[in-house]
Amino acid sequence: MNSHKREILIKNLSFQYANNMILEDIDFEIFQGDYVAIIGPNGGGKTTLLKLLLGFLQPTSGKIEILGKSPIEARNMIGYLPQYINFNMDMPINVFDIVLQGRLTKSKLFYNSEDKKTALQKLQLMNIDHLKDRKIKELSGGQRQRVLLARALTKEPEILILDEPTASIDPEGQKEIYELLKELPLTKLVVSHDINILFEGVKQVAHINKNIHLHDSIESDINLKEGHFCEMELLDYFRNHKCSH
Amino acid sequence: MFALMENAFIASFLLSIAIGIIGSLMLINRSHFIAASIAHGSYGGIGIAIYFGFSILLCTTLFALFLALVLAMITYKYKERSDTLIGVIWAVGMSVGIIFTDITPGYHVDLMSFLFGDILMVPNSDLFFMAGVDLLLIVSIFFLYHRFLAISYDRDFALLQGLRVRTIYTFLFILMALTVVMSIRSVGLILVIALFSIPPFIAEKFTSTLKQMMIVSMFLSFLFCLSGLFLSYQFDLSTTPSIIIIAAIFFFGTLFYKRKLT
Repeated sequence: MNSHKREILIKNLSFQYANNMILEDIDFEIFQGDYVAIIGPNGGGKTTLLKLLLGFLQPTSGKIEILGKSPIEARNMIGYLPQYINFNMDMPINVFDIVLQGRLTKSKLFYNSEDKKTALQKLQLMNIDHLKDRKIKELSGGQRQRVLLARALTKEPEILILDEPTASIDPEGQKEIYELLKELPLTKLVVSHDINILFEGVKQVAHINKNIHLHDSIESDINLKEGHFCEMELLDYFRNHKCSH
Repeated sequence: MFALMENAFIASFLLSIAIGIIGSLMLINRSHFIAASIAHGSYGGIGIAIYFGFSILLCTTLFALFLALVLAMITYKYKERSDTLIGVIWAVGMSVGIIFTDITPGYHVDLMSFLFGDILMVPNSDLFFMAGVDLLLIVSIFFLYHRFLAISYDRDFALLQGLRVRTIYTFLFILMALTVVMSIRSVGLILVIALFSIPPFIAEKFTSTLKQMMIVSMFLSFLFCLSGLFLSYQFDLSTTPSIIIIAAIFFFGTLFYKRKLT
């Protein structure tokens, strides 16, 4: 595997909404196999950047290239795990039907046996194949996230983009999600509020607050004093330390 | 009397198929308010048909389809502010209908018959129309089941999969409009929404897939229609309200039962 293949290129990217500059002059490259955490304050532009990467928003200026294509053209190579709040929670749908959605395409009306096999494999990978026929509403937060992760993987994407994968999950469930993510040999981009992700195998950290500050893994940089740290101090650390990439 | 009951029986059956499919899709997409808006707004089509002497069914269908397209366009693009517009279309459509019947010389329309319908008075021609709509619904759900499921559950993800989300969404509205029109004569435009929401609401509580929800809704609505018919015949009551009361009893029963469980 060529670990230097560039997969995502963001150049001079700015995004403006009703006279508010949300993102300004973002330059960012992501290479094959990278594991990047995107952190930053609320309203700092994390979600906007994600929407730009998925092609739901168009840049005001600058460009984004994913695997040499525009975000919309590259959609079939991106696995996406949205925030759970965006869902229709009450509707009756079982786990397997959700995971299979990763195999839907513009022209596919029915799933074939290959689709079902892949979906089942990903469920096994997430250790939830026994929940296959359960109604999604009956599952715990951690189990639901694993279902959505399985759905993203069923697409067999090159790049995985995750939006707050551990929000509203208990600490134990969070740990499990991080363990699963760590093992996935894909390019991973995770937007997170949970600072703990920085200690879970992330190789690069992007702090976004209108501008972007990049850092290598900080595991060696910050000494955990008795295993405890203050999130505000950590965020300040990223604000104040600029490294050049 | 027997012929009357026979048509009512067939109408109930055809209606139940539509309720199972479209009622379930409406419920999971929370589009009952939109369907109600199409139902009431389509009264405009009835008024226009009466004034110009067009076929009521044809004119109402076209008018309802027009409203559905406008609503699909607006609610897709402006999710947050769509409520106001849905309400405006509702009121304007009805007003257009009433004004047109007002200015029709010598015509004293029985508004009540459109508001409440009469399942005992469904003519054969309407039964054919209902059967046609049912057939379209069945074929559509057979081919588009996974698409409807995907856009109802998580629209962004469906977009990322490359689905034509907007087209599917608009098509769903078209199906809703046709269903509403086919139900007007039998249950009326006021009660159609209750009948389209109660069976799926109950079914949703006891099923784990959309397919099951649709099938259970069909059985429930057929049960409600037949019980209502029987009740109205036995005690000489209006049919549609009898059906709705039966459905409502089951509705509250479900709420009570579910509360006891949790």
